Amino acid sequence: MDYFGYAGKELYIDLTDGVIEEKPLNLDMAVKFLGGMGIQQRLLYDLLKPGTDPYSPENPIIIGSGPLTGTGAPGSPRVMGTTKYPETGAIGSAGGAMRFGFMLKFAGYDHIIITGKASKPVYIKIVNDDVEICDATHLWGKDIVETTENLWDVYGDCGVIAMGQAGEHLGKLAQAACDLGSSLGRGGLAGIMGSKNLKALVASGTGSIKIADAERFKKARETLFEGAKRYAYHGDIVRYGIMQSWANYRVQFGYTKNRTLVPDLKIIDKGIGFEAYKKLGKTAFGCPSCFIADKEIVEMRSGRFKGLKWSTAAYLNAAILSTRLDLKDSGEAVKFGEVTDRLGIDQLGFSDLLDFIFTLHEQGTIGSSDVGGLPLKRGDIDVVLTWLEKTANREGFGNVIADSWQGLMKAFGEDLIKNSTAVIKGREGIWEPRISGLGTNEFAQLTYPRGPNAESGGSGLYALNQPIETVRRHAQRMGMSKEAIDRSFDSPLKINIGRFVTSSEHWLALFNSLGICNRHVNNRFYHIDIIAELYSAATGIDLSPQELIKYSERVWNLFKMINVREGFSKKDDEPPGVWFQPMVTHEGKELYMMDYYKTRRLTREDVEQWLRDYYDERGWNIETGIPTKEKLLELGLEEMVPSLQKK
Amino acid sequence: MKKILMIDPDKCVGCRQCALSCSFNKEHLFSLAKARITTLWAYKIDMNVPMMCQHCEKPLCMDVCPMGAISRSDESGAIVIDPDRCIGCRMCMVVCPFGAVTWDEDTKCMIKCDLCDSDPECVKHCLYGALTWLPADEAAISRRQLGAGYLAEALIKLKE
Repeated sequence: MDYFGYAGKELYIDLTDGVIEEKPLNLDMAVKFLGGMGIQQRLLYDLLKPGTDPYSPENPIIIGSGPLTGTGAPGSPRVMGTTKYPETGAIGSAGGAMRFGFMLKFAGYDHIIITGKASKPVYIKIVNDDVEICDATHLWGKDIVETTENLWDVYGDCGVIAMGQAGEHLGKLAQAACDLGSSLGRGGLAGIMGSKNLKALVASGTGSIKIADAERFKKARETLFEGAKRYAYHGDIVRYGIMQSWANYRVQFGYTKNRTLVPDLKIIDKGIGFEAYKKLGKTAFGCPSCFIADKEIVEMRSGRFKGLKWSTAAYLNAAILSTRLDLKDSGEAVKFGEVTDRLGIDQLGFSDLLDFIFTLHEQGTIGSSDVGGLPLKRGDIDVVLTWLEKTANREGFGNVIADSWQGLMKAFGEDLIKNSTAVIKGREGIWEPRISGLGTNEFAQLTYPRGPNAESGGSGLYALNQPIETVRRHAQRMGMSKEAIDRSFDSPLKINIGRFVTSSEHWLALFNSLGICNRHVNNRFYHIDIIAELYSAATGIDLSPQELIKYSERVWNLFKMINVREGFSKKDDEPPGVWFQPMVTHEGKELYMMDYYKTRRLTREDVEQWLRDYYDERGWNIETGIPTKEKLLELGLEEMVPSLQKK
Repeated sequence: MKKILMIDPDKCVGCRQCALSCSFNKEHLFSLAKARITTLWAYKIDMNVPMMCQHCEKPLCMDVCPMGAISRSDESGAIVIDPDRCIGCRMCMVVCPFGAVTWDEDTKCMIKCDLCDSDPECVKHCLYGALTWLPADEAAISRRQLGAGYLAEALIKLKE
């Protein structure tokens, strides 16, 4: 059978008995759930028994991509990793990029489904149909950079997913990395790999991705290229990556002392911000198929860390997060980023946890003896590095941090964490509504079934101070119906965020399912009409823009249902208490949570109302926050109705 | 004036749109193996290097081909392979210093860049300026200008 767009095969690997089985891609499932995240969630729904311990051999890891990955659709390298994540206990589909998913397609596979547990360290090699579980004893104990470079040396032009020491020690903050340019699996994917003794995966291939209607595909693809050629900031983005938007992000993520303080950003600008960044050595690189590359290898040219190189998706992340720990300059920021990436630790989570611990110490709540004698000194890179090493290797109190907020709840009591952090579903939110206002990214942290994360589809409200016209344009790009637009913009606060977020989620599901990168710089060129053209032309499965949106809604409901089956419901979507307490700026001004356009202060009832509107917009039960039987039937998800009845 | 395809690895980000565009143009599908250009990630020097036929003035591939299947196109100046004559002996692959001639499993023939009838598809899809299609004399000048830039930078550093 000929497959178009899709590679056409799935690979089942049982690490316990070493059995490798190849199966044809189930085209009915592909048609119904698109690919990538959609297919992976559907596969997991059948493979995962509810209540399974994430670390048990029975928890599968599914890795693969969508029908557009491997094609010349711009920015389509997205690789997804679906499993039950240990940090939140939720099933999620994490997104990564670079070469692995792309190469896997050329090797002939859309997805790999990994179950079981190897008796000793292994890595999985996929070179076309030469698939092998290989000994990885020599790689165990090595960090992500060492592991990746070792496999690049052996396999040449390939894609590598690797994990570091944090994964080997089953860390809940442990994430894997793809080709030293993209993280994969925030929330502990690498910990699950560790539990399976799976150190890495390698893929390369000489196959082809066939296109059903090449002329039609070419036309849509060229439209996107024309858009990128006309884009005035193309050069700046390649030159500066997302640091180009430093002025915006420094404000959005500029908070410290457990989210009680907005520091003086001018001081940060100087040592760590854009001016400091411009002094770093830099080599730009991008994912396969990307036409607006913004990844980089940065190099310190002076100071204590002179000569240090760091391959990263963005210097920006480490810059922002190191300000939370009061690190002083770009050298310390690069060191912090480089070490977290080597060990395979989630920078976002780790910096929030450590900031929280430092804050408790500063408030006099805990002392050094409460953290096993580890140093409690903010603003010292060596202290941070000590904590990182201990966390990765689960040594001393590092064992507690390795379990993320679950660990701290055990150590300091659940109430302290619940009452004084922005933890939602077991993980801290990143977007801070007391600074940015409760926009889509901030609100979507509540409803994201996987637990709060950086990605939240699209909305036009990604950055600060976006005019309402931009949001309306974005709504059209996302293929929102006129009725949905009317409902979403019918609000005294200009936008009903609860209703609007549902469409952002469908947009995200679409990107995650088809294999398109949802980073802002790529996302902005896409329009639902173009996506429908690319998908239909590539696969030969003709779907209209409206149908694609409906299919994405199906994927999202499946994503929700698989988590409903695990026991998640409205209680897990509640806003954290700290959102309703003020932050204080360094000048002493109090910041309260307001709506995105800063019309007025929001109460808990306002947020609750938007949550009800969200459920209502989705056709879910507004009391329980879970899909109704009618909605599941409407979306063709009959098989999920029994899970509903058990609730 | 004859045009030539210039490569600037410093600007290459490794997106491989050149290879994707090439295989799509030639074969109506996407494949790295069927592309006549490839980008290699040389991590030890932090550089992506586009690799393709340089359309040499003294092409070794042409010299060694026992079937006379390799010739230079009068129109584009490209070194091209006549698939009807190619017997797949791979001698051209062996002698090419750039690894620019590759084997196509489906047609059992050697394949290489033919400059797309003087309108190279890879250049049209390189948004980073790593591939350019320039008149030969301009290309020399542009390389010289680039060299002058490096020299100036070095001199400034010396003065500092």
